[in-house]
Parts: sequence; C-alpha cells; structure tokens
Amino acid sequence: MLDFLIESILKVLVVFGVLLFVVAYTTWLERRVLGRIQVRHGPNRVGPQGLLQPLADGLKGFFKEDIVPVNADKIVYVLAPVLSIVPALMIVAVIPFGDSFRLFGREITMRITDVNVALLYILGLAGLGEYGVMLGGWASNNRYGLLGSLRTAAQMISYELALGLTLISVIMVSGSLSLVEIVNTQTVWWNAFKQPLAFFLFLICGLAEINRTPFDMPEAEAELACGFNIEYSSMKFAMFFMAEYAHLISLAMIITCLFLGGWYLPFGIPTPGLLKFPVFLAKVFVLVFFFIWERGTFPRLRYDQIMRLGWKWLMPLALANIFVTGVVVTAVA
Amino acid sequence: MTLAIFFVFAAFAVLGGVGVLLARNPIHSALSLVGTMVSLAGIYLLHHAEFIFAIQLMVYAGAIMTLIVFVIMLLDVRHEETESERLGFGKVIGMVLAGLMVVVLLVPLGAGLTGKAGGMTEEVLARVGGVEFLSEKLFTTYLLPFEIASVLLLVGLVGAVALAKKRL
Repeated sequence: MLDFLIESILKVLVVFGVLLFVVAYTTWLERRVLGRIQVRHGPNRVGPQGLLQPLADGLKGFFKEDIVPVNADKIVYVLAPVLSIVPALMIVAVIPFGDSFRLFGREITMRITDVNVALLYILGLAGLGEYGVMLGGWASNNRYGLLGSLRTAAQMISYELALGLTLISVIMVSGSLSLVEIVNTQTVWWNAFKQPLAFFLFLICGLAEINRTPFDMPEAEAELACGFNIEYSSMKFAMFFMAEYAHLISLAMIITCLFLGGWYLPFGIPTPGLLKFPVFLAKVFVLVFFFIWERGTFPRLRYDQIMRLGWKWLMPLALANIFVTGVVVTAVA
Repeated sequence: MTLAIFFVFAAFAVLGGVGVLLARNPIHSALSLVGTMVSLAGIYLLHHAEFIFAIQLMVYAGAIMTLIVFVIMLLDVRHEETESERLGFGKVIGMVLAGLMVVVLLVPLGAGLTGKAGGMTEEVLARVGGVEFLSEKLFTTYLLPFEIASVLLLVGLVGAVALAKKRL
C-alpha cells in the first residue's frame, strides 16, 4: 500500500513537472515556427535562440498587475481559470506514455493509472473543461467576453457529439475502452490505417474541441479582441494560456494512442524496449508540429460555417463510419 | 480510508445542493449543481462503478449542465426576482413534502435497516468488467426497455426541432 502510494505520488510529480515544462516550450516552438512561416524572426532575444523566453514570460505574468473588473462576478471570475486548467492537466492521468520498465527490481509502468474506462474519462473531462472558458467570458461582464463564451459553448457541444461518435468506431475495432489495450491492438496495423475516416474526423473535431485554428471562434482576435479572456491579466491569463497548450499536448497524445499505434512502429516492425518512449515522443512531436503548422496556414472559419460543418458533414460522416465499421466487424467475425 | 473519502465527496455533494437553493444568482446555482454532480461521480467511482462515473461526468456534469449554463447566459437572468416573504400555498406544500422526505430518510436509520448486498461484488466486477457486464445486460435481458427509452429520446428530439423551427 505504502509502496503504491509513493510510486504514484512520484509518478504524478514527474509527469506534471515534465508536462508543464513541455507546455512552456510548446509556446516557444509555436512562436518560432509561426515566425518562420510568416517570414519574421519570432522571439530570439532572451537566451540563445530565444530559449529562455518562456521563463521570461512566466516571470512577467507573476509581476503584472492583477486586475479584477469592477462589475465582474468576483468568485466566478477567479474560479474560471482554475476550472480551465485543472481538467486540462487531469486528462494526462490516464494516458500511457510507453510500456513498463524495471527500476530497483520493481516493474514501473509508464502511466499514472490505467482505468478501464479511460476514453470515457477523457470525454468527461473534456466536457468539464468547457466551463472555464464559458464562465470566464461571462464573469468578466464584457460583451466581447460573453460573445466568446456563447460561441465556445455552442461549438464545443456540437463537436463533442461528432468526437464521441468517431470514438465509437475506434472502440469497435479495438474492443476496449482502455487506452493501453487500444494501443496493444495496433502492433501491426495502426488504427489510422484501419479507420482512416475516423482518424480524419477525430483530428478535425479535436481541433474544434481545443479551440484551435481554424476553429478559434471563441478568441477571434479580429472581431472579438480575444473573446472570453479579454478582461484577464497576469497569472489568471497565463492559466488560460497554459490550459490551452496542455489541451493541445493531451490531444496529440490521445491521437497518438488511438490512431498512431502509441509506442509501436508501424507494420509490425518490432520495437525494442528502449525505443518505445522515444517513438511515442516522436509521434506526439509530429502532431504538435502539425497543429502549429496548420495554425500558420489556415484562415479562421466563419461561425455559421463551423456549425454547418459540424452538424451537416462531420456528424453524418461519423454515423456512416460506425455503420460501415459495424458491417465489416460482423462480416469478419 | 474509503469511508473518509466517501464523506468528503458526500459533504461536497450536500454543500452543492444547499448552494443551488441559497444562491441568488442563477449561474451560481447552476455551478453548485455541477459541484454536486461531480461529487456524485466521485462516489460512484468509490463503488467501482467506473462506467457510471464516466457517464455522470460526461452527460450530467458535462453536457446537460453546459446547456443549462448556456441558456442562463443567453437569457441573461442576472438575479432572481425578489419574491414576497408571504407564506403562500406553494410554500406550505413544499415544506410538508420536505418534512415527509426527512421522515422517509430517517425511518430506515431508526429501524436499523441497512442495504442488502447484491451479486455484483467488487471481485465479480473486476472479473467481468463493468462496461461489458452492463452492455450485455442492456442488449439481452433489458433490450426492450432500452429500445423504448431510445425511441422516447428520439421523439423528444424531433419534438424540440419541430417546436423551435416553425418552417423547416
């Protein structure tokens, strides 16, 4: 019991430390890559290649004045950034980063926990994550903020449906709700090959769920002047910002586990034990890079276009995919 | 250990429930209700009902409450209208019902009644798996009620669309 507690606490500390470090450096990577795409430099003054920029940003966040608008709903205003970042960090608890390894004669699995309903847990937390953004805009008592909140709520509810329906076809081919078991069914053929349509749909819906370009309606700098977080400053703003990047990284890890075979190489090429974690990391990095790349390339969709895409295209396609998968699975079995 | 965690969740659930009643601002009420839902999800998890836990988070705390908050925001009800302090007919009925509820809850305690253990103990659940067990029951023994519930939901869905859109 005590062993278990110590092991779990250590794992939690390590995972969250690494996660927050990665979150900080994803912001650096994004700004550098976007700079390159837009033919400018990006941050390059603080430290070599601007590598100390996240640190400087963090310090700046701490020392900036923390403003609470006069007519804001004080409790909800303070609560919103917390409600945003806590679910974003909690998702990582069920993600497997690799197989197990032996240390001091103990079998150590590279995940915090393996609940057998991991997928549903992730969906549940994704649902809770909406509150931070919704309430943040509402509580600041600002019209742009409220508009951003309403857009978030509508967009997330719409795309969560298609996201959930897409997952069903993945569950049907894997026969499990546990991420570890889903990864273990992909040793030869990744789910991205078995379920190309689901992969494509999940990628789109995932981007919409984390409010990423081309679905960054809630922020929409041009029309809403940053939307829901318009009144937030200093560390409260930084928490929204961190939650956004934590979501980005969790989405990359979830897609890696569900569709890209987790820590396995494709086509049944045997993966040596030492390479498993680097393989996983490489896949996550490619996805994160893709998310940055498409942000620099795609324009933002209009609100009605987003709604039409979600309800009239993605959802019927996801339903059709479930039907086809069902037919094929029963035919094979 | 488990009992201590149970009481923490239970306390939060009750606090949330009280918050729903006492909060003057509808958004605060809705948020308290979210707190109650999440605490209940925690209690389900303590009882090894992982599936119900996840569904509670996803459907109640996530989807339904998001919609409620969304509607409150859209209507922009800032504060509930100050009601008259007069003891109306509705309030009397409410108080009688609340009193009856307390009696119903207290009688089993006084009579020393406790729950009856069913067949699905922790070990059995760990063996057959909660989700597999539930889905098998739903699609064999309880197929008809399950289908009827789905049709009922579908009717509600169609009705909502028909009401909201006068001209399709």
